[in-house]
Amino acid sequence: MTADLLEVREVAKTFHLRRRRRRGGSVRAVDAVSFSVRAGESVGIAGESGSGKSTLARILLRLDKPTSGQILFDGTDIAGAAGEELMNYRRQVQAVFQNSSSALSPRMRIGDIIAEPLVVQQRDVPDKDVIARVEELMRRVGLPGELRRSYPHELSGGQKQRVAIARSLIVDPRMLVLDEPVSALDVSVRSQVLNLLLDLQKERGLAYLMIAHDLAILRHVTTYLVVIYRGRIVEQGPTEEVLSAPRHPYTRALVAASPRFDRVGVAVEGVADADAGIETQAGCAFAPRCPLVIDRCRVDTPVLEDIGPGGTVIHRAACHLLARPVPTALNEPPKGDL
Amino acid sequence: MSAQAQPLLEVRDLRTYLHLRSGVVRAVDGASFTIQRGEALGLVGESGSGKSMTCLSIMRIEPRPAAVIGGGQILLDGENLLDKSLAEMRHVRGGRIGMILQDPLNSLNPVLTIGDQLLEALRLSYPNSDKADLRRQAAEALDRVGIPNAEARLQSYPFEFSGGMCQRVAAAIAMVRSPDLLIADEPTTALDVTSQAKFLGLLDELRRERGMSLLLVTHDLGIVAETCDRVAVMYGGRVVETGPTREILSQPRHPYTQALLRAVPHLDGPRMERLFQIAGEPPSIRAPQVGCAYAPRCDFAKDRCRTEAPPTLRYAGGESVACWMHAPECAPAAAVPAPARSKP
Amino acid sequence: MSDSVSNAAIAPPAVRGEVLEVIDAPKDAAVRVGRSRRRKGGRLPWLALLLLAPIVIFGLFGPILAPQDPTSINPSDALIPPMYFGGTWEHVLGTDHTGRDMLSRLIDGARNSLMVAFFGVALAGAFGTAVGLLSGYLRGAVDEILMRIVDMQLAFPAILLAVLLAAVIGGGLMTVIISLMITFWSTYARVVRGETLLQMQRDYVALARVAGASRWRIMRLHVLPNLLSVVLVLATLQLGAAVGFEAALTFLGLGIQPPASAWGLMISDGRLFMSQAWWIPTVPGIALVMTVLGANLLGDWLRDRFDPRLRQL
Repeated sequence: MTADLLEVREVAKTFHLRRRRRRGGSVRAVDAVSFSVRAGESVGIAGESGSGKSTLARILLRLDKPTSGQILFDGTDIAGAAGEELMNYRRQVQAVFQNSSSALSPRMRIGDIIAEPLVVQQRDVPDKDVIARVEELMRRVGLPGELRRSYPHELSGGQKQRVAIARSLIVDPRMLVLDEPVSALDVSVRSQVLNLLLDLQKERGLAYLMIAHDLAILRHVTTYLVVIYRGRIVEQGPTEEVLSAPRHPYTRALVAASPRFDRVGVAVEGVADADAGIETQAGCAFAPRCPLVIDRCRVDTPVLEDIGPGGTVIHRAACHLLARPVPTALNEPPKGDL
Repeated sequence: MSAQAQPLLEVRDLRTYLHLRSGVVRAVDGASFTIQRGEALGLVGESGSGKSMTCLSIMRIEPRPAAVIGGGQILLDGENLLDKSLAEMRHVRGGRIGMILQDPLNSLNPVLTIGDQLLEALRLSYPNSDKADLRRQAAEALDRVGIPNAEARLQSYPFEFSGGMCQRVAAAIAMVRSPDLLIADEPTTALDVTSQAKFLGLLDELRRERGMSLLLVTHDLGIVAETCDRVAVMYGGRVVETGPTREILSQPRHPYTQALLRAVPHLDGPRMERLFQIAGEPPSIRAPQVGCAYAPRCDFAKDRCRTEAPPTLRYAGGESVACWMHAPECAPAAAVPAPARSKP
Repeated sequence: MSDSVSNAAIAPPAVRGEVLEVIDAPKDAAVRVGRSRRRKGGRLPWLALLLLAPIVIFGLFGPILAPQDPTSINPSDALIPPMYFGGTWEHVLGTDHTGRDMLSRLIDGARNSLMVAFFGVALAGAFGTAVGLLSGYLRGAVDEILMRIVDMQLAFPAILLAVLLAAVIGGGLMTVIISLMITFWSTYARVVRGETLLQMQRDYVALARVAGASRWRIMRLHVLPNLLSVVLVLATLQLGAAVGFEAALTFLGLGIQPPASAWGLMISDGRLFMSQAWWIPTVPGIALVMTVLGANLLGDWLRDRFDPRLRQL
């Protein structure tokens, strides 16, 4: 059995709000998140706004430190790493962000942007070797070589994202963290970039951690899915299983609300809107909006429990209603006793 | 055109040009479509397709002095909006055509209460009513869009609402004068998927209740599938295909529509190992186009497509397509595929 | 690995249906307006350049251009009005109360004023930018302390500061330059700090950290170059203010000292002769207005040009 490349254990991040008069004004942006990524595997994190996915991405890239928990990479905890240990981590884990326009430094040339991680991490590489490597990567991601001397504003959205991908690969990392890599691109261009990512993964044995809100994209790119709501994992398991037979009410709402092409003219039911408040409450975070809520949900925080058959890849969900059979409609009252 | 009732809105050959420092850009280059009373039309397109500029042109709020409507007609119940005076247009805006924009945070004034903003719109319709009466109507409007505690919420400020709720408030404001047509420009792009579903459901309800027409602009074909009766697809400033939703989704005529449907990942159906991809990128509106705007990316493009812009063909059922492949004089034989492309 | 749909395999859309009408694509439809006629602000800020050109030329080539010696005193030639007001072509702008040619003095004074203003602003800018950058980047205690110093400096009236300085080291060129530095650096610091904070939010800074870049490298390569446009706009606007400031100090006797020429001196000397020889204070006054206005217009144009949000239109 392949060992985990990345293991996230009970990672939490709390932000303290300074200007609130109420006691304990704090937000748990990420709360006891645990999952793992194996070498060469593609794990997806599905979450909407306010889910904490971006905070989680920043923590895993060590742009911020977690308040608690461990981040084991190749067995070593890098949650508090610094200096050489941190640099070692950076050699193996790189990132691609959503907004290609703000991800590329506007006054740097494309060639320099792509080369930066290499130049920073291996200072003694001669210039012509750096250029050769940059050109090789540009070829691989489908960028014409003459763009090397161009500036970001001269490129299209799709090209800029390819630059971001090339840059992330120049130090030969083992894992990429991709935060909404295609959301800001035109629809007709997205599949090009997704296919490129898939090809690169196969070629290089890369592990991907992809964060997105679009379930359809996650379905095609990932094999394991983690669904996050308000900083907590509500469901996780093999992507296809989670999406075809979701067990948590939030996952079910997400799947139901995702636009489909086979239901022309059938309006989709949604769930109540989220409240603008961000404070953490007791009980299940989804309780205020859940169509199946019972009293217990508002008091007890549900924990992740295994569901489905055993085996190496477990499907888990955190809901008090797991014991009951799954209703067909979103808000049909559950049958049976609790 | 088949013998139908006069459409509520008929856009004929609309042209809107942008005069920039770098030259003239044809943002909308001959767009034509119709919307019947009570119908929902989805206007689908990507960046550079001209869909947003089309909406702004219909409302005559194109960003002057750069944008100029250079030709065509916009007929609302038979009257050309382009001939109307400023005063007449002010009556049309809000009164006959309402609009919702993409970013709910930008649509609402952050320093005014929701109540004030609703009252502002109401006063235009009922200048002689007293304040108490208007407040009652405002509360009703909020209630109708599903905001709980409507009366109390009139005092709230936009920042106290979530994105989905703000968008509903924007819808309430847009519809408070019961317009005949509601234009919604990417109204759910900035919302979560769960809020999106709820909001589209609301639009649908309100539309049926009032017999209002809806022009829904989006890049997402999935939304169109659920909400719209008919679809118009735009590419490079032109309308390339129109038709009933079911038909467009199952049997598209235009290669772009077909490619788009295949390239978008689906939650239903089999999982693909590799997605269908369309080569190239949407045309930059700055570059002048010769021939069909989609030709550079089309798998079936022939020489004629690259040199001559295709005609628009109208069918018996009211659909249309702008493509040489369907033109009567082009033999409908097996199309010659484009030469092998290098892998992008 | 299951086979997926590959691009080459798709069938073209079916040609079907009864065509009722064929509408040809118009060749090039009649456009209501002609070619692009809109130019926001024009390619170049003509008015600004026009106003600034003489002063800059004077400043650079001063001694060569001056028709006469600006310091030569000829009491017999005193108080000659400018050319079309009763004077001669020998003294185009007239002479002052000691017989010195106004035009020559103006040119000479331009040189001094510009040099002082330029150096003052450059030094203030360099120092202020450095402070702002450090403050915005490092945050924490450093930020707090530096910004409180900025607050203190801004609270202190500039003229008073200059007077204090003059009392200590005497008047003159250096005094003005130092006063300018002390007065103007804080504006840079504030603006640069704000801009730095903005830059720090950008993804490319985060990605540079992910790449392993050091703080110093990020400051140097990612933040600083993107600050330059803001700093340039500010510097241009301040140049005008600096010229005015110098004139004020000189007028008060704290700045450039006689017998050197300076516009402030000319104005202060001419004060007494307002009724008899209006041109003595008025001519340098107009020159001052032209310079400050030109600098402001140039700064406005630069800001419009560099503001990315306005770039679309």
